[in-house]
Amino acid sequence: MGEKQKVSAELSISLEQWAEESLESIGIFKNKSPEFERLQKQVIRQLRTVYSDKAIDIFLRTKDNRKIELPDGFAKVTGPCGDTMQIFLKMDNGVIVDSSFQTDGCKPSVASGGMVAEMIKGKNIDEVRKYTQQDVLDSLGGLPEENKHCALLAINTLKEAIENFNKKK
Amino acid sequence: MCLSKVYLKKIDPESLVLEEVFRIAEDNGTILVRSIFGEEKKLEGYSIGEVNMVDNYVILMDAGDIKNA
Repeated sequence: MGEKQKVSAELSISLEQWAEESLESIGIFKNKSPEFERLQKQVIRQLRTVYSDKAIDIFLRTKDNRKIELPDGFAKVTGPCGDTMQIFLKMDNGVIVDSSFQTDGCKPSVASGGMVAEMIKGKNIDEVRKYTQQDVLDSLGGLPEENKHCALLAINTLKEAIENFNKKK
Repeated sequence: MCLSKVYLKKIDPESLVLEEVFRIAEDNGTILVRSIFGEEKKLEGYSIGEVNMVDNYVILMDAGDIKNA
């Protein structure tokens, strides 16, 4: 199996799991609803219509959804939607050598946090401080209109984390 | 998931069963719908026809209609 097919197969499995979890979250269970498989396919079609493969891949498979102990830069920001984002930075000589995030928000918030953590790793802090909400959206392949604020929350939290690092220096 | 509106057969204000729904339990042809405001509705002979996680609505259909579809 080629790498592209492998990623595609993994994405399909992840989407099935996400659709299953989404249905279970409102009380529709695999072993109780005779319509479960049909509904699961409906949900997968909807998700693929709204989110890019990149966004789906990030929020299902990011490994940066974790805490970094004793971070050099840290921020916790709550957006107007009520979601909270935390960003952790580990620095070495002006370069971000490790980055991570945590959020209690929805999946687009997870995608945005994961995208930011991925984008900034190995980058110089002077370069990173110029990143914008649009950069995050472009890297994710876009988000639905009503979820674009999630990318703003992630980028605002990143800027606060950089400020926090600068104050500690 | 965000809270859903639940409709009977079609998306129409007159077909609205309940708003702000967080739970839809299906058991042997009976659908139990619960809202965050404590309202509860029990519908016999229906099945879940459509779940839309993007626009947050659910459409209930006659159980027979779904089997025949």
